[in-house]
Amino acid sequence: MPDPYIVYGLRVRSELPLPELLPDPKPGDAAPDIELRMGDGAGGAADLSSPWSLPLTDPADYHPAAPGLLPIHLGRDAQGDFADVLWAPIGRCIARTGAEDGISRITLIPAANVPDDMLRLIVLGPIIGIVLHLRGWLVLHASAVELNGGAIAIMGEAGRGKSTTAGALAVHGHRLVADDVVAIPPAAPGTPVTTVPGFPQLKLWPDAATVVTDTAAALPRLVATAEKRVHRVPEQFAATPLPLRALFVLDDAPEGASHAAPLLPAADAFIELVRNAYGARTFERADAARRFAQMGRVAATVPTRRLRVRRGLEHLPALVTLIESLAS
Amino acid sequence: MSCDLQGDTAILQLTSGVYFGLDAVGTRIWTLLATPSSVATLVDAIAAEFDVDRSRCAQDIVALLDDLEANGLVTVTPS
Repeated sequence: MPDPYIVYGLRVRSELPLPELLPDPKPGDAAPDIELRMGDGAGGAADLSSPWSLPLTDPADYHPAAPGLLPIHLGRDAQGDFADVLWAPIGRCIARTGAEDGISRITLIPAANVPDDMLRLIVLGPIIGIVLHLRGWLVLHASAVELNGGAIAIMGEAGRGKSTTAGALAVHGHRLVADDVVAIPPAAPGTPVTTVPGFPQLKLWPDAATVVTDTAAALPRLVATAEKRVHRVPEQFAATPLPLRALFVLDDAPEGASHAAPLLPAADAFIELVRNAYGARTFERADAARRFAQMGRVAATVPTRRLRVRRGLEHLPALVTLIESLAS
Repeated sequence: MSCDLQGDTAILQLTSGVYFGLDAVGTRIWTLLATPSSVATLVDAIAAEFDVDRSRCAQDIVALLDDLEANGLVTVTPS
């Protein structure tokens, strides 16, 4: 296996090289937190004919494939909590966190002829999200940067500009905490909400990339068939877990209105967390009580604002100034 | 299960996965419901605490209880 990496503060050993991740600065043979193995040991390609590779034991665990949802089976057996996921036509994945040693083990079985960059895309997106969920973390669909020694996270619907805003803040000297998957580790009640840096990469549309870097034209594509580009920022990446100081929800300013950032009542902030939880619909019934309590704690303690801003890259500098002023 | 949101309350009905939100008055009723109460007791308590017309208060409480019962969050029994 390649040397261990670090992702969300966790040590990863992976048979699939993951050059997006930073090497783990801790040397030696210490046990990993996450271990990724390729294939089922038999050397064959994934059988994609059945959605499940593990038996469905408890009907409450059963998450049938519905339109727009991944076929995912989240359950528990003698070895601990697991997720069994099929991504046709890419492959299948079983992730589980050992009840005894706490190590998250991922088995990824690709279908025939799937390129590594496609596999890395699901490992560093949905699979890492599922693993963090299995480890008891609250996972948000958001991007986050470091501001004045704390973190701020930006939520909003797909395509509204979470990554672009985070990238624009990074250009202004604020270090990236996470893009797309913001992770909040479990913590005792009454302690501050923290978030842990993910990995130093932004996923950007080509036009947004031109605002975030001078070398936009040279940025690699996410995968060969994707329009989105990969912007790696290892020099501009938060180094330690940070208190989560503010949440923002990107939304539109009414016609003719200037930018505004009203503070949301905690009950509204809670609804935004439900909507913007990572895999909001896929996971909604999984470990619902635990996630409910975590979202309640975040909504009650982290100030949340609706950012009413104009669409368009030309409004980014004003948006950056607004977020900086709110976080100071 | 429920959680406190700076005076408001969010409730999750675990079997159905439905979320409920309660404002400050609803939160007070939910807190009182932690011990089995008669509707009259609830109306007395809320009318006294929130300076509200008693018949309007009774109407609203019965409507809330109906809603909560329909979603499996409380059980209402005839006295």
